[in-house]
Amino acid sequence: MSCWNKIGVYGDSSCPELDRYAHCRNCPVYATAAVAIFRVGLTWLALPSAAVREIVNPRPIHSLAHRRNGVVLGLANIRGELLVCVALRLILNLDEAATGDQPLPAGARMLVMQQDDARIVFPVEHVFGIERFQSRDFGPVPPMLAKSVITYTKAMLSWKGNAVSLLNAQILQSTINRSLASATAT
Amino acid sequence: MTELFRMEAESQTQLLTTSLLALEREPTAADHLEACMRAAHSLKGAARLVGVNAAIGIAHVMEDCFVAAQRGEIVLGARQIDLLLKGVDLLGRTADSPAGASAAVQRAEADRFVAALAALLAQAGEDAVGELPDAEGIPESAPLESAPGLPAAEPAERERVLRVTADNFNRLLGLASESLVESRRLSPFLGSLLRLKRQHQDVFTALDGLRGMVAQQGDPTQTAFAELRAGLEECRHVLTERMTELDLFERRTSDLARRLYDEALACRMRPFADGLAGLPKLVRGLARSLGKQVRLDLLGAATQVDRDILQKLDSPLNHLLRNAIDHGIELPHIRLSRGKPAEGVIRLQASHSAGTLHILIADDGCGIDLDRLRQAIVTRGVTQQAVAETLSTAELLEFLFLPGFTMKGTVTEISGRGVGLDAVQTTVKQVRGTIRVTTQAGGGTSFELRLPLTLSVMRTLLADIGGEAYAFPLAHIVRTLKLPRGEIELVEGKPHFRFEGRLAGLVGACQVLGGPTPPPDQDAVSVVVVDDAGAAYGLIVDRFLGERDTVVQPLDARLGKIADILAGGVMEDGSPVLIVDVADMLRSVEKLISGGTLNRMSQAAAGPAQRKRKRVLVVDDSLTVRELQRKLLEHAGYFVETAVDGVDGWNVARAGQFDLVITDIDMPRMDGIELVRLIRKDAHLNALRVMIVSYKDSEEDRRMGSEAGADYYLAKGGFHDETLLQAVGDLIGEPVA
Repeated sequence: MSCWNKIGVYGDSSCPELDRYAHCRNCPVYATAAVAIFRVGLTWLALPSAAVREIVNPRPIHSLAHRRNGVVLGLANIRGELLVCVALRLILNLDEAATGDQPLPAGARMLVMQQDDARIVFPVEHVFGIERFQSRDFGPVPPMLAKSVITYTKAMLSWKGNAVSLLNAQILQSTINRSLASATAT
Repeated sequence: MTELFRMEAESQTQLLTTSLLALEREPTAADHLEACMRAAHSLKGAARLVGVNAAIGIAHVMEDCFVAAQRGEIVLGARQIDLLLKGVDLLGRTADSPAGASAAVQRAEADRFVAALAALLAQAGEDAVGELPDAEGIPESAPLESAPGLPAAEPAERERVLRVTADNFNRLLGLASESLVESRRLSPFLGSLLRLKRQHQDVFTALDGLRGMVAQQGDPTQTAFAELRAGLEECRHVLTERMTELDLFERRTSDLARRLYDEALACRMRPFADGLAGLPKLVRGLARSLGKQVRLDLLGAATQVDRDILQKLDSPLNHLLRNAIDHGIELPHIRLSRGKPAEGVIRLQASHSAGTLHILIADDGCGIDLDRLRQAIVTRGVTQQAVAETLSTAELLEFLFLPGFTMKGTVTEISGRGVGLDAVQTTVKQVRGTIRVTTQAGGGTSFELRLPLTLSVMRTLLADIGGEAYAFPLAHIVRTLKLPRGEIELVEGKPHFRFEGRLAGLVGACQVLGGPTPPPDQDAVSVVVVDDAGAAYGLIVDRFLGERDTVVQPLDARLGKIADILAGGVMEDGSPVLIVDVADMLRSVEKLISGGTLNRMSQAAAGPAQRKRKRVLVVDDSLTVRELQRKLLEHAGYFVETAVDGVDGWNVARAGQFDLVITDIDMPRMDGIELVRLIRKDAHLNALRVMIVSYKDSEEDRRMGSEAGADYYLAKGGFHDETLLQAVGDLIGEPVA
């Protein structure tokens, strides 16, 4: 059982932190355990929900002159602002066949990640929603994962029989920032 | 390097000021003292690297002072803080012009400051709030209010001004444009309902066709028919009603969205006077240094100006004012002898006219001597005597805007270096404006700037290039045309076409932008003709999409400048569009025409070699140190990335496969020792070599470094190019494996 079911608003409301946060959903204990689960290619990934600003339907991406064939896919209009879209598949080095020309699957979405004040968009094949986990659900990172995935993985989760890599948004953001700046991305 | 130092000084002095002000309220707050100490320490190191001695002295004695305060040897009271703030001020000024003629003055000021603060430190242990040594030698910066010329009127009725960050504002503008795009969807929806209504009408007519047949049936059928018809009639009535309602709603919504959007755009505007607060002070100071009396008259202070344009205007206006004071306004006794008042007047006037912003800078000085100008043109070999004689006044004045052109015999501190008016013109052109000069012998000179009202909306031609939309700013397009394939001529194997009697080069826009090449299946190609100083080029696009006002959105700063692209925008249907940087594109076109494809091939060849280079990560909170080390190592052939503090360094080190990490010790957020410890603990990184470069070079610091797991410890005091490269070479070998 998790604390919010015992001493939180779903339990007997005896938690002393409630004075400060009023509701469990405002409390960091509750928030850190919430992750957005999605799939890129055949790889199951997750990001802390605090790092996900919004999830939107797929929309046209305008490629950037001289920046093609790289991590940077181009620009998309998210709420009237042009945000940069990147290929997570390339950053994580997931060597699967590109799904570029195939029709988008019905669950395809664009995920808007936010760290500090910077936002970045990446298309994903499917978003399964926000799920809550307890700290004992977080498993160690198995060494047989691809090296590039290990670099960005904070912990492993098991969700509906799938091994899900919980990504470290901070490192991911730091890498993306760097690949944006370099004129000829890998 | 000095530029880097200036930038670093700017941020560190800001930090110092904030922390000092906080200390004033809380004299012993450890975190603020720590922040001050670190900022002073970083500045000292940076100043030492670029050799600004005055700054080294100031930063050093300030650091000592903070250390003493940390130890509790002195308490920082209001007067001490006053003195320290003056030091910060002094540091800022020293960094702004480390090599200027005022360096000597700054040096003397710095010495006085160091002496004053040293005396304060010497009192340590005694009554720290005792009599302070005389610090009056350090001038206060003149308060703005005393500057003459700013209209004192209208403070009462002026509206309150709020500060909004550019990010917040862009987001607001984005949302406004999104709601505008969304409101436009209602109209087609209404159209679809109209079709439904027509279908409904058809059903109704068909039903009426049945009436005759039903009349021959029995009563129950007739009743059922009448009920059916009444029901349908009711439906039609409700549908019509609802559609009228939706129609009204659509109008209100789109009107509201449009107003919201216009209002948001209008927020970009600021009163003209907002950007000019410093000018009256500047004019007064300059005039006094030249022994002249000059007053600045600011007219139209409330004129609304786009904040981006206002920002860009700062340096050109500054320059024109300097010119007016130095060259235009005469010395008081000359003015009096010419029957003018001793005090010269410079009029700076802003107004809106015919949809443009109009700025006038006029002085009542001696005007430009046209004969001397003619002479200067000939002397400088710009043109021949005979030609110069025939030039009209307007043509003559045009020469003032030539790069490097100056009429002044001697270069003064204020103006006359000949790098002025051409820079002014370039800036004005950048914001898509024009500049014109008129002069009257003995009566003064005036510069007239005509600028667009806003930079945030641009009239553009939309074109499809490689299946994606691009926008060309109309101001840069000469014309557009459909060119039959038969009229394309090959000159030296490259396509050209006849344009206004001349041959003009023809290039596929997708070729310039690096996209996919469209199949050449049309009989005629769509061409955008752009002009560059007389040379016209044709850019082939897939098709024209029409003319439209595009709201300019800056691209994500992390992308850096993208070649050939100016900014982004959103089309009416909400899809993104890129705005072409025509000036940039012309350069690319020239490269392509003169066989620039070579460039691309050599780049591809250089690719794999780059991957084998040894990778070094430099972690330091000082921009100056970081850049110095990066340049050194890159020059030697290493691949270098940089990080600004321990936390950043830790993130980068984990993501990129490095051979060596070079880190400073004293850094905010996470220090170098902690970073080394983390690296040594990480299973994937423990093979990484680590070097510490620090000012701290006591035995204890070295021991801490090696205990944490550093492979090498280099003291910055003895930091020379060779020692660093030597140490790096020892640790990871030659730059290329």
